Amino acid sequence: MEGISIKNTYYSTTALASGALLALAIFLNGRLAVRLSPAWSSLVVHFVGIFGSWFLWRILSRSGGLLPYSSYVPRWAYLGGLGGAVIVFFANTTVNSVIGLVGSLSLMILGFAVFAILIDINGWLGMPKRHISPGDLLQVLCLMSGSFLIILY
Amino acid sequence: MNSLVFISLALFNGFLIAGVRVTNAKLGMYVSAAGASFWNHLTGFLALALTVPWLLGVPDADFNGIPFYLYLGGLLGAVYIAVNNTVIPSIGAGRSTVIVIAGQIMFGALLDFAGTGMTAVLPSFLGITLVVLGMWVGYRAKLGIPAVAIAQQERPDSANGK
Repeated sequence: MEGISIKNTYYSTTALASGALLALAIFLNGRLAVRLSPAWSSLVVHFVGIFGSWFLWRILSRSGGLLPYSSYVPRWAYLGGLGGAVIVFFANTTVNSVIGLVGSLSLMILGFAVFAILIDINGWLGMPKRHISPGDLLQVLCLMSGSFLIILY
Repeated sequence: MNSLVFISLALFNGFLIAGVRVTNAKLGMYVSAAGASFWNHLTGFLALALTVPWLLGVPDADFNGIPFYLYLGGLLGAVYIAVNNTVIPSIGAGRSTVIVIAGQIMFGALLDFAGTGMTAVLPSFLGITLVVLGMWVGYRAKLGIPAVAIAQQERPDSANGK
């Protein structure tokens, strides 16, 4: 039991730190988007990311292979990045619409969190089903209301 | 009426983000977190490279004039996706998502404050307090079996992308 809760603390803290990393990445990408355009910035960022992630994989996995491939994984899982391109276009559309940046960001975050929780509950996309406890709901409520307070003011 | 379309689109886009993140985490359970980050960037780049120049045209920008550090966002993104692929199977998609969002918003507010000094202090302080409270609540929660363990049961080898 103790081991499990230490792991939880470790992974939760790592997740929080990765959020900070994401904010820094978005900050830099935003600066790039001013010079290019949001879609072109995303294109360039993905290109740089190919090399960054490949080197990261080679260093961490110590694999001698050329590509991180496994025949045990369902084929569709390799194609998730295609959805990332659709996200870029949709975000581009809504940010430049009547709902603007803050509206887009708030709604995307809401959809993101709600769908992620639904994935947990239903075990979609090959994830294990998870029971959502009252404590989990309290955590979601605190984190989401805290995030929205910061966004909206 | 028109705004309802964009509201639905933004909400749907959030669904899509969750789907993409979890799909990549699923891949990461087999080819390692960083390996899945590679596929995420490769397929994302190919899809954008095949559509953006045709749909939006080539920008009239001086690529040589762009400071080198602005390109580093891509490297940070690669690490971010890899970390996400580690965290999602371990503590769940929902918990990972709300924590990452909180971290992103909190640090984003700090960046804004450092950059322009224009941040509403009281709501931000309240928001950060709520985030800290939420993290504390989460630290006390018990977890189920990590999905990583399930993936290891499903396959006979422990291949890191052989």
